[in-house]
Amino acid sequence: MTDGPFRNLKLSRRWKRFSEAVQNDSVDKAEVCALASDAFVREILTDDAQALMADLQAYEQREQLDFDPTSSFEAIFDDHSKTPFADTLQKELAFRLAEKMPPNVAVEQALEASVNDQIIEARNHIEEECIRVLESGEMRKDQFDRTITQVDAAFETLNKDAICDAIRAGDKNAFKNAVSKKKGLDEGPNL
Amino acid sequence: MTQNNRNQYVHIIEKDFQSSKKLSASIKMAEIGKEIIFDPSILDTYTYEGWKPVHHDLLVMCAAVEYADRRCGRNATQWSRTFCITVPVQELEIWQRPEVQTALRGMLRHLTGDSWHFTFVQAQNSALNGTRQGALPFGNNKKFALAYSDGLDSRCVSGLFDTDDTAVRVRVTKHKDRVKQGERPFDLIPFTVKLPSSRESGVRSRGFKFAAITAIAAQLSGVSKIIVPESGQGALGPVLLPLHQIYADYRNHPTFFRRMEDFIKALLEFTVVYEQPRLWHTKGQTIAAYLAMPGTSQEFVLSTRSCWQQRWNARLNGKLRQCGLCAACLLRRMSMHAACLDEPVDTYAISNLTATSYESAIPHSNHTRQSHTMVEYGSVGARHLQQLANMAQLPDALLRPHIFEIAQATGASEQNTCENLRGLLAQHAKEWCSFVDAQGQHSFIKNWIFGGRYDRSK
Repeated sequence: MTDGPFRNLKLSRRWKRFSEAVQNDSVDKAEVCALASDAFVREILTDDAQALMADLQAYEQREQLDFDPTSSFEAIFDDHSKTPFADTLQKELAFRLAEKMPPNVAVEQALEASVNDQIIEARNHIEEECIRVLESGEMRKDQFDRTITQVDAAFETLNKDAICDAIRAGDKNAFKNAVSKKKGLDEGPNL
Repeated sequence: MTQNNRNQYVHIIEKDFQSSKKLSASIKMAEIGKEIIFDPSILDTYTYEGWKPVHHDLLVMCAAVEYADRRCGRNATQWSRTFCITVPVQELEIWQRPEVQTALRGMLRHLTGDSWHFTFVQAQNSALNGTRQGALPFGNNKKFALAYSDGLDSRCVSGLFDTDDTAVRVRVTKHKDRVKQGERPFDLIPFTVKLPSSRESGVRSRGFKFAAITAIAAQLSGVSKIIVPESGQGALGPVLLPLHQIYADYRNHPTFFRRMEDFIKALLEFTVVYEQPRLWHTKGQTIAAYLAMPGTSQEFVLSTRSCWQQRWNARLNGKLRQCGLCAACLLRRMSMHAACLDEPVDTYAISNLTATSYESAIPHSNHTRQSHTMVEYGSVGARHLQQLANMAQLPDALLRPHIFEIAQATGASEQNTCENLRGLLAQHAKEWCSFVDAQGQHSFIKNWIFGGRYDRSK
């Protein structure tokens, strides 16, 4: 914090699409929520993260008793690239394993906590982006206030369980249908 | 290892290097003597009991890691990179030991969030020939080594712990080589890494460079303790509150230093301990503790530099100041406020935080311009300090993964660590709120921190 740049990475294309949808009255709340969920899942589930989740699941399905699950999980994480999400997940998992929690429960709870952290960080990042846009003159104050309110509302309605399920399953496309762009005027909502 | 597009290949080569096979154009080459330049006169100052080739190898390794880190930019939306680096070393057998490689890769991965793979080759040139000098003619009364910069923490911590000139100081900045009034001599980083332009501004590997060079200085001067001067907010804050999709900054975190100790032990067969005596204190408390000592001067504290910016953001009418708004400057300003120190009005380019808008706070001068990134640095920094203050109110359950990690790394109990962390956060919250209040009700800073941070306990 004390020496070096303290900036965000750029918002991804999907987060930009979410930010635009939030400001657009013609987009319904369910779609805004799906856009945020889709952005989360695709951001977290890089190829490496997918492989990591698969290895964690493979460990959970082992029938053999492991006397040192902490070392086993450490080895799994070491086999995959570091990502901010993987780092948080490893930290949350290590703590729970030290509490003598069964590995499958520890993974489950660590995943939920890590997803929660990602949600907090993403929400915070979008607010920071709104401040930047406001100060650069690209957004008026009334638009800024309204956008923040809408972002808050969208994040409050996120289905965290569905996001966790998608990450657990390594399914990048979990929200694909919900966010696919409509091609024709006659097309109705996804069923 | 097979080449693929995701890997970054870097070869460190010696002068007059001739390759027997044609190298791929994608391999980035850094030549010792050209891109990596050692300063023999600085090397001489380290010659307390004589260099060993492995020390020089470690410096080459530091330079190689810095070169790779700065040369290869990160993807705009993805943090991690994979490096494959070839390094010429004199002590090939030592570097090829599995325990050395494992410790090196693990430590760098933890620090930078990247994957590091090294191939060591036998160095042909003996870099130490001709630069070595005999032992210096003074007795060794040193007790610890200290990484020393122009920053507040290093000055104050140096003042607090080096009361009888028993510190081996390693200067960690390349910008100012002269000893200032009140300072004692120090050792400099003995190499520079030259790049046409750096593609990566984060440079997380700096932590490795400073820790490794301080360890070399410690071993050569016969001390086994290194004092890390960073106070609590800077050491723990970036890990407690990482930014979205940005790997946490472990540069001053205890988990990094434990890994660094393991690496130094494996490589140099030398046990060194990195101590963080100000880990549970705010920067404001560190300044106040220093000023409470007899014979200290406020000027010594005020003349420090916290802002890392050297660019237009920090210049006013042609004079380099501190920007006044980045995270480092805001932490400095709140810490000075907590220690009841008034800074000269010309300290900061953006001085007036009581202004009602950012636009009215920036200096309007023909000789000054603020880059468009300044708002981002300022708002993210201000919000970070606010969110760190908010953490004082979090329930224990949400702090426990951090408490567990820190307790493991410091060897303290979880209960003790919890109390210390809560004390640090509470003190930070008190100092930050007092600082923000002092800017008045209409400060633009208040607009930036409004809303705070979404809390997962809610």
